[in-house]
Amino acid sequence: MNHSVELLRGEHVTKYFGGLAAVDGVDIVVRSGEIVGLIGPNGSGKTTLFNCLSRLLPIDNGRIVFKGHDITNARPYQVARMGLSRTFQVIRVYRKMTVLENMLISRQWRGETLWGMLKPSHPATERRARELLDFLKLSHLIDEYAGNLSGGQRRLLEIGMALMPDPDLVLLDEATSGVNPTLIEEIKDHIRELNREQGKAFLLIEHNINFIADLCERVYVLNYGKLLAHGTPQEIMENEAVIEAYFGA
Amino acid sequence: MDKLLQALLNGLLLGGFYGVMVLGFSIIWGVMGVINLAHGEFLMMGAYMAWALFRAFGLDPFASLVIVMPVMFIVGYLLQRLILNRVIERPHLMALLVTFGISISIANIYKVVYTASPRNVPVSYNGSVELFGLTFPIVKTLVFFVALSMMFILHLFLQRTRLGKSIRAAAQNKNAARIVGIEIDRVYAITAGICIALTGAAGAMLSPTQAIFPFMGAPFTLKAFTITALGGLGRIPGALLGGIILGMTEVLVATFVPGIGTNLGVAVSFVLLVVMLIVRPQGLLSGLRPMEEVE
Repeated sequence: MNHSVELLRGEHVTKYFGGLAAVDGVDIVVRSGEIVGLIGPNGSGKTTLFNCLSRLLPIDNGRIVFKGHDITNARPYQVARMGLSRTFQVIRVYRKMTVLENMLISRQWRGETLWGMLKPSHPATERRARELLDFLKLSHLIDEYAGNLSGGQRRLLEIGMALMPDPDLVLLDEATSGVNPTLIEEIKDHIRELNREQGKAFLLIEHNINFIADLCERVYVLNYGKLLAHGTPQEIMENEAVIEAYFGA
Repeated sequence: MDKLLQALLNGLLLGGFYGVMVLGFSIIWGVMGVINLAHGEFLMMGAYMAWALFRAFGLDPFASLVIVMPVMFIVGYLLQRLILNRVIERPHLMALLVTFGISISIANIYKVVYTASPRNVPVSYNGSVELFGLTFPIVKTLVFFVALSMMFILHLFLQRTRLGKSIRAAAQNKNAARIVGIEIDRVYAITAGICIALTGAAGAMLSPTQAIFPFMGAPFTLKAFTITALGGLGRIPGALLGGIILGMTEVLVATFVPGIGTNLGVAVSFVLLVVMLIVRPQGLLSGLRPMEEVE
């Protein structure tokens, strides 16, 4: 995999909530074809950093560059259209729409006119949705309302929705949270396959250290909003500052 | 018995009108979380536009919908793009105050332009026909069927088109919609355009049956609250159900309670609203929670 092309760069990213720096001068880089982990104790600023990188939250200081474009002041939909997708810690699927509708809605408004939006989905879009659902082993649930799926199935659907726009980089926020061990292995296989076969890059927030160690080439560690450490999973697991942050020892 | 049946028929016909009248209010609240206190004023604008077209060109109020609705769509689109999108992320009170200001402004501008004198649209077919022993007022029956058609078309639009699904997605989860590339500001503006167009259409259809004046809107905003409390936010069947309940209640009270007549429609509406909020605050269906929270 060619890791030379820089996809996402956050420089000195800072976000305050009131007087508290939830993210404090964090530098982060994800290159094409990489799987990078982002870990840290609860409240360390991981999800806030995701929200800043995906532009759901404006940053107070720093700069964010995606595929060579400064996206510091871009809108979330613009960043999504450039090829940056994400999932959420709390699963966000459209519960009152079917699985297929959820997938199709995730590839809307890409340079279309108002008139175009009154037409049914393009056959190629529906074909992609069905292929992804097949890949994620959700094909049998295609006409089921998303609200009727199990937590794990919803998590897979959310990943599928993030993949619908054919992104270059996917930010997965605790993709294994509330998911049974069998499904966690499936999610791991899906990420690995998407990375190897299609060159998708991933930035993963995880509490499951084994998941991170199995998948990631590099790991960033946040604590109290600051970057505590950065290295390979092995280096991180042996890092005393990281051990102290997690276990207080 | 005949009196009761006639009252129920009149209530049903009025309910159909209320159903389409409330849709714009209910959908804007459900999708964007904005309580549009200028709702009645947009209805008044539609009524005035129908009156102006009737007076200038002799255009029938129902035919005028092909002009009223596109014009009101543009009004709603621009209102959302230029004003409401700027306050929508702020505390709800901000949008409430902004729409209150808009309602006062519109009503007073119309008063300056058209004076407070009531206007009428005297269509030639403002009579009634007897059928199955009941009296069908022609205009109100027409309004009922046009209203049902509009609701059906809106239902198809929301369920079948990608634009409609984007509106539903934005209503259910705006951050998730943003992150898959949906331009929420544009979706909101189109939603507001559709809602204000529907409200203007309701005003145009109302014009042959009621005097038109600049301050006619407020009671309709109040009734929209009641119907929405009954039927839930952003739900077409709920709007129709709530509209029919209010319509029938108003007509039954006016028919069977001596000395009241139709003048206490707003009072009936408020009694119904207060009773609903005390007895069943969650509403008959989903109540007054924004659609996002309902999910």
